[in-house]
Amino acid sequence: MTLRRLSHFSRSRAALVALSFLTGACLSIPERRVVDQWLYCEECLTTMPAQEPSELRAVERLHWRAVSLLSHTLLGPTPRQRGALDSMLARDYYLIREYRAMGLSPAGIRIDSAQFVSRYDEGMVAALQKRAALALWQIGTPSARAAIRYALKRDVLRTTPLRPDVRLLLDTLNARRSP
Amino acid sequence: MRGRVLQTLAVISAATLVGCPSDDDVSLPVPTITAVEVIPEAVQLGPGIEFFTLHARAIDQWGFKLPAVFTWIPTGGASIESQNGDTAVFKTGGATGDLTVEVRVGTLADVASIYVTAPGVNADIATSLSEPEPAGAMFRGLVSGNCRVLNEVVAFLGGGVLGYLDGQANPTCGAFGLVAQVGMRLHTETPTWNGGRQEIAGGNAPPEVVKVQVWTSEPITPALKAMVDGELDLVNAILRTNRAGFTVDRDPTLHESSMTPIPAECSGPEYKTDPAWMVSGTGAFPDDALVIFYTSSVTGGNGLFSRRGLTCRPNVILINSSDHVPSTLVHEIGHAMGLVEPWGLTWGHTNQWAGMRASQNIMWDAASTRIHLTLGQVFRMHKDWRSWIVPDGLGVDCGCRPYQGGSGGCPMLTADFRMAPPPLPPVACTSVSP
Ligand SMILES: [Zn+2]
Repeated sequence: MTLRRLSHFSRSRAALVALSFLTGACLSIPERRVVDQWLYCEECLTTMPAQEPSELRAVERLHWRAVSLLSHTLLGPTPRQRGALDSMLARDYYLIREYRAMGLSPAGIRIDSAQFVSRYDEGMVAALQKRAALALWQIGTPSARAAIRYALKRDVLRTTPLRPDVRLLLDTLNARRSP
Repeated sequence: MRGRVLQTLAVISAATLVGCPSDDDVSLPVPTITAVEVIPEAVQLGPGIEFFTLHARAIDQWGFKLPAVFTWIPTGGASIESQNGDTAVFKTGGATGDLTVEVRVGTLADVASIYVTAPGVNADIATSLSEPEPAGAMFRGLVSGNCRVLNEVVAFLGGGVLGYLDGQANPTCGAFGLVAQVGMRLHTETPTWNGGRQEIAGGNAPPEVVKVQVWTSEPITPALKAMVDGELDLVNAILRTNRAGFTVDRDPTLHESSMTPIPAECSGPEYKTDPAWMVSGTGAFPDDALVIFYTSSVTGGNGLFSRRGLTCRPNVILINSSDHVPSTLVHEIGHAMGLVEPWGLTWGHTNQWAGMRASQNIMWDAASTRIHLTLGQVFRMHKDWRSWIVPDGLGVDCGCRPYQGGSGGCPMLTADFRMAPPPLPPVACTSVSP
């Protein structure tokens, strides 16, 4: 990949974007927590009745620095996110199984871990992608908007098919100007 | 067009190539017991009191409670009387002074110090009960004679007193009065200690079973039923582990809603009589059951993002069926049970709490492993007027500040076992309206 081939893209801007990744796109742990708060929030209503959750506004304030993590998230969970989702589901599964083993549930003991995980996993991954896309759209830098287009492109090429609701949101965001 | 694709690829590959190593630390989900705790860690027994009860908890690497088989080792002449799960009842053997009881799981152990007061010495209120079933109850107030008011008292009927005994009974009072509330039942009797056994006569009650109605916008399939079953079991497992004093009905009828679409937001305080909220053939939602609605979307403020769940006070819970986690339901039940303050700021969420294992609390507002409730939270669920299970007019006002108890004299919201509440300044807040 060489910058010389980017005919429609200002060379200096490309260099700036690349430089931004090289010089500090990695978020500090507290900053990563800010992104996590938005990606995982349940109700996201810390500013109700305001239109936009403050969790999202906090990510916006990280601006281009959050783009790398959000772009990765948009393409599917990062290893850390995958680990966190798996850990949470395994823990909840374990609790239910132990509770049933004590004979306290009318549902009986049987609970299939693979079925349990798959029941929630798809929705959780789709939600991560939608939250990431929304944050990228709000940030609105060229690289953030490019990440949305790239995810759509991969979907069209069927390399990573998106859930229909994720695709719909990405199409909507891609067609709208960032605020 | 080609340039735009290349530009996209350049950006993404730059991001991919550089990456952020700090985002790759994968933790594997293998819960193992790393500590054992005995509760309470110290017991003072009044003169002539022979029996006391202890609990144990096995804690994993994340601080969560895990089921375990406990071995109890009493010393100083004490002996084990009975054991049931995490609870054991001991007999002092008549000695006075210091005793210890050790609890073990494998090589891990913790020790409780027991002090038996000699006859004639004023004693603290006894700190144990003996039913093994982990029911819960809140006790506060002292209604008879000139006895001192017991303020922060959280007692758990059955399974032993785990909580706060912040006041002392005046030894000249003899019997002392208690107002006990177990779920929706209010016990106003004046119980007495039962012999030397430290039980409250007439006060024992099993956990209140809260009625539940489940509605779904999707066809009821075995898979959907299994999901609802699992989530209700998770709710009850968490309530039981925290001795919350209530459980949810585990055999609710599943109703398929003909209403399309189900409202994706709480439509104001009138939602219960709003036609949009009424389900055909049923009229308005009942007041005497928690209504849990699995619906295809719970939208956010700008319509572009969705919530996992939402509680429409007091008793209607919306769960986003296309994106929620197993613990979303227990979190929303926390809101219905009054964990909503400071209203407009953190909405009962623990995200701003200092320390306190906040992310493991069921009121953490994010998909995480949520299992914990503090004593302060359990107290509010039973006593605060904001809680749906507290009958109208019977609740106290615990206020809206996490680190204060309000005019109801409640323990701090953050008050918990073996954890000193953080000494933080009061925060300004506005309360939810009745
Ligand atoms: Zn919440």
